[in-house]
Amino acid sequence: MSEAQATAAPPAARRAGLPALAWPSVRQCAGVLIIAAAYFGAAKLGQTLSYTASVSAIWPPAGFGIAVLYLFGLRWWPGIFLGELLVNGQLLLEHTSIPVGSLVGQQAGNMAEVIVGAWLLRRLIGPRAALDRASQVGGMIVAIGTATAISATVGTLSMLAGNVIEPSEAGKFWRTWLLGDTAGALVVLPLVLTWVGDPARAWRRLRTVEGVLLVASVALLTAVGVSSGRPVTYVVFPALIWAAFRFGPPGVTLSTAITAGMTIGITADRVGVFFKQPIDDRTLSTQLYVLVAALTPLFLSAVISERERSAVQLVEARRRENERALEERRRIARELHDSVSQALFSSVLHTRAAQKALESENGDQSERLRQTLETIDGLTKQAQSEMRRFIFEWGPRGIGDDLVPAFKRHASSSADDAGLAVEVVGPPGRLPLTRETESHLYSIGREALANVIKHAGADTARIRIDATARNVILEIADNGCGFDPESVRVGHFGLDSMRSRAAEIDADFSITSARGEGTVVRVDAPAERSDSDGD
Amino acid sequence: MATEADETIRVVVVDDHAVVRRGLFAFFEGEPDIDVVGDAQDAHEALEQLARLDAEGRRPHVVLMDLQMEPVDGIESTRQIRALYDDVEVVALTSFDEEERVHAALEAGASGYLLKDADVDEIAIAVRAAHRGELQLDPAVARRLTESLRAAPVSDDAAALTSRELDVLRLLGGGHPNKTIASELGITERTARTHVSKILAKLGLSSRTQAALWAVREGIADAQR
Repeated sequence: MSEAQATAAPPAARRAGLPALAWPSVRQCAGVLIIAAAYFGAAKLGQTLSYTASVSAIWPPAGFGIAVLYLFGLRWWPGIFLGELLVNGQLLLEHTSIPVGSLVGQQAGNMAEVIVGAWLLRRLIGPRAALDRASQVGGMIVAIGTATAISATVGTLSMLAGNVIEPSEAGKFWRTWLLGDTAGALVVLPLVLTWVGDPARAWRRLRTVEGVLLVASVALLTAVGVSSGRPVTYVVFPALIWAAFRFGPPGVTLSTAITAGMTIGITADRVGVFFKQPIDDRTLSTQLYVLVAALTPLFLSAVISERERSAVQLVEARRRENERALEERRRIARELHDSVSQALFSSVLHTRAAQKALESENGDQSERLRQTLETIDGLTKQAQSEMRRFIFEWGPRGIGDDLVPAFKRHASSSADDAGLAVEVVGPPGRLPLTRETESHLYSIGREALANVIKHAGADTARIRIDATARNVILEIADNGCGFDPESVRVGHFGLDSMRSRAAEIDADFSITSARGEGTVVRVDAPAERSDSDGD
Repeated sequence: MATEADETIRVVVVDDHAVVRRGLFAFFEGEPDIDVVGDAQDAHEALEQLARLDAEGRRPHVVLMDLQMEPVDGIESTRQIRALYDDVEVVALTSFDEEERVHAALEAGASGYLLKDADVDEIAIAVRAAHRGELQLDPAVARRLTESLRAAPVSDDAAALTSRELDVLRLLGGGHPNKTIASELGITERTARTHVSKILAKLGLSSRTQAALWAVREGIADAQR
């Protein structure tokens, strides 16, 4: 509450130091007058379809008043009071039969409705709610229901006391008042809440071809549904559901407002499906129609917003999880480098020292010792190079380089020994890939090249990388013996691991090969999007 | 204290892993011409050791330097040592062969760059080479530097060089430091340095290592090893 008050109150007035009796500023006066005028206008709209003189079938001022006090603070109550005073003053002039006392009671009931409604709304759903959660829509219904029950009860008692209505019709009068205020509030309050929060964003979303089509469809289908005498009353609902799915709460509240406004207008014009009913039923069915048309898409859009949010959160959580896994591998690599690699290096040094000591002693009987030392030397060096490969791949710098240079380096170190000529072609710089994708592509390429060295019997191989804004294609081709991809059992040649890596980065993976015709492994990975383009 | 040819080479080992320092001690036991006179686990201790040995009149000839250390890395430590003792050669001994590290180490004044997973006998060879004032690179490192040189846009007109600059380049290609180049050509070390920077500018190169490799490739170098 304090936030809205802070923005609404001019700081100068606070500093003046005369809190209670200070004259209202020009700004406050203007605000009160604007609120009063808008409240009065909303009441006039509601009075176009009235059940009796003082109770309307739909009462929009209730929702408007609650929205204003919810958004800007309870301190703006004088605007509501003034607006309500105008409404009752006009009633007094036009219907001289209504006693002043009853109108005073009505005024008090409506004030209590707006103030209790706004206060409850703050308590239940917090400030600045965008109605994009089902719990917020639920809280709003509780606040509106409580508020309108107060107004309907106080109003009915006032009218009974002034003999405006008979005790026998009090029950129906109360129900009509309650449903009228509730229907009005359920249309107007969400409309104000969703459009005042971020009007530019709501407007941008609706200002599309689809948005125009939606509004036109809602208007057309409501017109057809309500004014036609045929049983097609609910034909607007698909359009309201469309609004919920595609345009979120702002689209829903606007569509509902159009449907409610047109329904009231058409019925007040003495035509259409609701007007044809007897007067008692007419009011009730109009009220229920508006209530259902407001509640259904509101809940739907809130649930859809929740689902969209959790989908985004899920993606984000997965990304973070992957980052963490990579970070963990990097940590392990660092630690292995710090401990095992250094020990292996030392071990090589010690072995060499022992070999030299043996040479200088030059004993024939130590031939076995010499051989053992040679074996130790070989094993340690092998462990050293495996450790180095691991650290290079998972170390603090990921693959340690951009993809093409990394492949060049790897090809020159691993293929030289195998007598295989590897050509690496591709753009040398940074590719539009996330670190995760880059790292998986590198691993796939390495695995494929290892297969070429181990199984293909090829003399040349070619690693080719093509990058566009949309995707990055990695191709490993060789001129070796090839194989029949159909006959390879799952898991053989590490094909399974390559496939699962490709799946993890949403890449297409394919192997083209036949006996005697070489092999082409191809991975088509989506590029990292440099800017998120909305939808 | 004039350096005699048959004098043993005094070496200080700087590495933050005790296990590596112990390994190097054991390894150099088997090299009669090399004597490890001290070891340090970081840059600060290295300077302390050098100061102590210098005061004892046993200033080391070569420092074997691990590049990955905390809080001061081996490259900065190399720079500090070379600034204080310009006749102490530093040989980098590391696990990583990223190009920029090699450049940084050489620019800091290292006269050798070795990888911990290369053949360990290279270490003794490099220490002796550094002691002779020559440059010793790990074969893999040298190959990659050459490749990057090949990729660099080099204007191949050695004709743009003066005959004096060609002399300097010939010695540079042989791995000689400025001091040797200067005494060889009868010029001051400062003049030698000026010639080197002019050569780099004319050939569009960024380091003396690149110039040396360029000279080797063009057949200008004094083939020495």
